[in-house]
Amino acid sequence: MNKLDINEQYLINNPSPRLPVCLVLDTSSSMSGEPIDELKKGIKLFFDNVRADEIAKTSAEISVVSFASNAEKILGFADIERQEIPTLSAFGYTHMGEGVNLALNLLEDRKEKYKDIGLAYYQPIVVLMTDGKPEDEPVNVTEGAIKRVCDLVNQQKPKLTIIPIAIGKHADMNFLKRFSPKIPPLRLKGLNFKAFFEWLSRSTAEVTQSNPNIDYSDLIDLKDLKDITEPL
Amino acid sequence: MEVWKSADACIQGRLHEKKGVPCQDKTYTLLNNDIAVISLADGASSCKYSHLGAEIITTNICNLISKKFNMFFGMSKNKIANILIGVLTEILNRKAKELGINIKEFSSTLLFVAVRNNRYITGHIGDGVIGTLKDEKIEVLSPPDNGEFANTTYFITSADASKRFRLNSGSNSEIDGFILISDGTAESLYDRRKNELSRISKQVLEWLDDNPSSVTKEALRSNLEKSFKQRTMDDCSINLLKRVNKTVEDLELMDLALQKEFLQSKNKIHTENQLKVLKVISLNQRIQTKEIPKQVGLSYKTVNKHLNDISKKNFATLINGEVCIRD
Repeated sequence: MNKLDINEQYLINNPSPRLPVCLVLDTSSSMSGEPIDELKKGIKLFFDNVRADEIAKTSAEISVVSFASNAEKILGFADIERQEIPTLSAFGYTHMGEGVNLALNLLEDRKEKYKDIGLAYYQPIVVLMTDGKPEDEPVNVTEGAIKRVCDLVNQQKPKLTIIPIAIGKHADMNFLKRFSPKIPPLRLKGLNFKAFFEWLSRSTAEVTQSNPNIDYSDLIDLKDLKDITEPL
Repeated sequence: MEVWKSADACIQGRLHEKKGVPCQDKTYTLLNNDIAVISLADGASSCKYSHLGAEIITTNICNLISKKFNMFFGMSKNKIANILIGVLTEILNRKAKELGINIKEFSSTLLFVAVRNNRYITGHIGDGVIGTLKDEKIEVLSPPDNGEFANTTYFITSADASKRFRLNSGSNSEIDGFILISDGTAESLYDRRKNELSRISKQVLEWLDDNPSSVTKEALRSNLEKSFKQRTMDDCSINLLKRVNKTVEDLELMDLALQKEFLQSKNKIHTENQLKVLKVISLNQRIQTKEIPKQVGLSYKTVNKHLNDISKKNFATLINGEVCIRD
């Protein structure tokens, strides 16, 4: 070794900053049949793509929350290599606010865990997918969730990115818009979940490769979704 | 006898190579007899002209601090921050107007260190790290400021820049070196969880003790390319400032390139003559200046020039026709 070479064994191995992504999925009765089947395939593709990306797989952490008559954490945040892709079944009403609240709670808990162990993390992402609007849910729960999201998104340095996706023609875009003050809701063309999750896995990889100093909203490029979503 | 030596390097990261974006890390150094200033800046990825912004602020901060060090040293941190941000913003605004762009396109972090007569001032906005070498130990003087998220930080153009600008000043009689690194380099040299710098930081600073700055600079660049680049997608940069202490005996054993650099000599003859004068002074506790020409075999005029030079560099003290070496 040249005397002016550094010994690599003394270089620091900082753990990758984490990117927590929470999928918040409508599993109400109207999603049964082909919609839920296609959604499951899309989620599998998302996991496969993230696992295949050298940087994303050590950085992205995925949680899945389903909402029907109750909200349920069906997959908690963990090392993606150890996670099993969750099964989904569709039955019940649409407690959307409860689902979003649960997602936000999981994200807050995860961030606290990161802070406790000194792990850096990126701004979290919530993907909210529904084919309808809140149903059978107390108004204060729905409104509370909306307010909570808006408080996080509308700060000068936003604490959250939420991506709202409408499934099918019965999804209430106006309601979805209330959950997402910055990014307008996009209606998926048909049941093109695979293409959407392809895009999401690319965006996730971009974030995990990003330099600090990059404007976060530049990474989530919704223009790439124009082929798989319907114009407003 | 001591001098402050510097070496720096910047390399383009893999992400920017892929996207055809120029390296947005910049460094600058200003050294003279009296003052040493080093700076480093990391341009915001999303800003098209941030490489230019980084270049503008690194050069201008060095020039500004070097001209007004004494004034700043006596000032409150708030006032220094406001003045520096104000001046740099004005310079960036003029350039932005010339190019027809928004000043935000120049967004960049900034780190700097200035030393003069055993006093120092450091300034830091954004990520990256400032470290010191003190009592043979490397310590973090100013850690990264990322805010909550890993991919956010603060810039010289941020609305709250004055509030986020962290300043330190004090006596540097015990500090033998300073190191500035960008966040790309910090990925390999800075332990985020422990807030510590790797021992390699001390190692590279000490390269300046026994190697010319130009050789150290090339070694830094080569190591950044070979090792650091593979561990991050980001641009990497580093700037070093080291106090190098040598006796006349040490100097005599060094090769010509190192002697020239230490003495800031123009050529071989100048180096040899100055060494002769230094040697004579060091062999005597005190010596009358009029006795030196005969002892070194040089004219009075030549010896006088060297004595003035040596005195300006604080290598020796001239009082009442006598001279003695400063250890």
